[in-house]
Amino acid sequence: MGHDLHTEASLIYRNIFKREIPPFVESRFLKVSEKINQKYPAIKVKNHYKKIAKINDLEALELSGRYLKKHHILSEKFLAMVYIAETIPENYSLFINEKNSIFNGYLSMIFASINTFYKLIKGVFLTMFVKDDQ
Amino acid sequence: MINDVIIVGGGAAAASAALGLSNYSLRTVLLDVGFKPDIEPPQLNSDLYTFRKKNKIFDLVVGEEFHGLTNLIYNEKLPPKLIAPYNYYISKDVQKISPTEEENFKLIQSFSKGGLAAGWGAGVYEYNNDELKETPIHAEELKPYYHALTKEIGVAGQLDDLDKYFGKSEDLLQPIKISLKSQKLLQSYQKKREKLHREGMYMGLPRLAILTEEKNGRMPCDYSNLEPWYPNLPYIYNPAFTIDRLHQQKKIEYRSDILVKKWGRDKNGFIDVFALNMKSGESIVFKTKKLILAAGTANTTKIVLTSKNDYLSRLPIYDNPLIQIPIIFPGFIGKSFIKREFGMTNLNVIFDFKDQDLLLQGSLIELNSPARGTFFEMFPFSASGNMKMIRNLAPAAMVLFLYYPSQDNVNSVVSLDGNGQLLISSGNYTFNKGILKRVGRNLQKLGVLTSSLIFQKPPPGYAIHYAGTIPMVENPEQPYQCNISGELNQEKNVFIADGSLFSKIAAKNITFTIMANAMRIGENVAQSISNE
Repeated sequence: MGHDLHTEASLIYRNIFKREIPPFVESRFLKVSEKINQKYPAIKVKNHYKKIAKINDLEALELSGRYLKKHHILSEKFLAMVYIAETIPENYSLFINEKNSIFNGYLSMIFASINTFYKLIKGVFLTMFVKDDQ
Repeated sequence: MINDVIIVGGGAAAASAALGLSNYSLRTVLLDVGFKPDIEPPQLNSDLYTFRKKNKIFDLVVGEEFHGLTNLIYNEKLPPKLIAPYNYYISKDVQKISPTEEENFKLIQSFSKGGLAAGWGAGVYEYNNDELKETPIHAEELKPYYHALTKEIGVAGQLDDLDKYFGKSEDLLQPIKISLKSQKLLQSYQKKREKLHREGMYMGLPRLAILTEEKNGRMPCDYSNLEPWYPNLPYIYNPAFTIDRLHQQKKIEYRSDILVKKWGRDKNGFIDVFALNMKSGESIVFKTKKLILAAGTANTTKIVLTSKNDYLSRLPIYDNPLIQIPIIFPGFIGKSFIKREFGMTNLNVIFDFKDQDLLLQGSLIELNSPARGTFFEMFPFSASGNMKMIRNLAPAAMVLFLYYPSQDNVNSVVSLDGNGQLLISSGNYTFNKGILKRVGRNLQKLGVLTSSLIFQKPPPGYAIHYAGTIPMVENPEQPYQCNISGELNQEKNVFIADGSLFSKIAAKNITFTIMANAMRIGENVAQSISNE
């Protein structure tokens, strides 16, 4: 399980922020990740790790799970990662916009909408090939 | 030792009752669990955003015990301020000390010094006669107490279009400096004022228990955005300030680590207050001539039911139904984040729908203080899309907390089970869709984007304005009623001074009215002892 947690932390961080996870964030995330796992039945946790082992695009997996209300563990871990990642100064500019650009602002909304649509379709498609253990 | 008065509680009602007693030479003891911040937060010496650009804020926002992620880890629904690591003491050990079973009702309690007002939004609004019509007191009777409290706590605000709803206080401090988005909204409102008034919409600056100038050694608001994260900020009124002052002046004796369980009578007719010393675990009995229960609606109700060994009665409990309305300012999308702006209620809005006989009040809240991660949860996009929205859309957003008057048809009830556990259940609040659409349309007229499709409806109880379990009536006939002095029917010398007394809550925070009434009751109790 320990190995799974490290891999999971690294994958989630890379999927959200497109970079390697800083040790400070990883060490805190591992503890939270265990706490989230404890909320769920063992079979759900097992299926969660099975999916993230087989599907690289966790962003698509998380989004489809969120909309289909099927993969709460991953959505909660994404959220926990964002909360923890926000607390380090290296990530300041990822969260706080210090430049005025209305054009970029609207462009990013268009990107977010297109990306969301694409990732949702992809996520639904990918999960069709990974069956949950009962 | 027989005390003249024992006050139970350490929040807004208890502090105000103590204030009412403080001009009389009485032996007054205030019993409180009184949790305080476990550790002092670091001194930032700057605003939140300047600090976080160079320093970690993990201890401030999440904490090594992960209190900041309580809602995520334990499926809770607590307001962000109550789970911030340095503010966690406000909601600490509540389930351990006073276990509750809730069905469709979110009961939020506190055993901290200052009570829930240690983490409140600081909105202070006077009630008018119409809003008090179901209680036997009139607004005129509360006026001197509103006045005294305004001087005690310091209220920022100004006289504007909301006077007729919030009262014409003469002792207001300068209003807070509202955010740029709020300024734009207010300008837009002023341009369309007459038209909006015809629609029943009024807007103005909030009345807040927040200092905009130095007062009694308390420093004014510094716009540092630390409100959700720092305990006991000097510019936000906390009842603990009044309690500490009265204790230092020897007007009251403050005893912390004391959990009051119930009262009884001794053979001489004095009141025995049975309590638990939280530190030693020992039972302890205090004797008093008069007892004032001001521990907050839920806890006072529990003490009353326990004292009467009543495990059958089901008492009504009220709260403000609440709708959270996100609004977006299109002109602020993609704009840079403004670091030093006031992070709480910036504007108040009244929707006075006379054709529906319905008055709603909204508090428009700036969102620059909460962790940005909060928005990740709110936005519906992919993870990378949500991150882009956090940078570009979040600075353009505010949220309107729209309060309804309490609804008495939802059957929210509280009772006590055989194990001493409070049971609370509630039906669902009903919201007229047509009314919500009118609210949305009026907001859109001010140039902001919103839709009734994205309005959030938190569960009953989430407004944290509880009241009505043991109402004050003209001629009490039932055991769970109080007279106009707050004295519990059939229980001589036992008074109630908190929200339990109000059988209706108008569409605005009732705390200031609870405080004024508690001060009135405290003063009446003191006078009755003097007369004896």
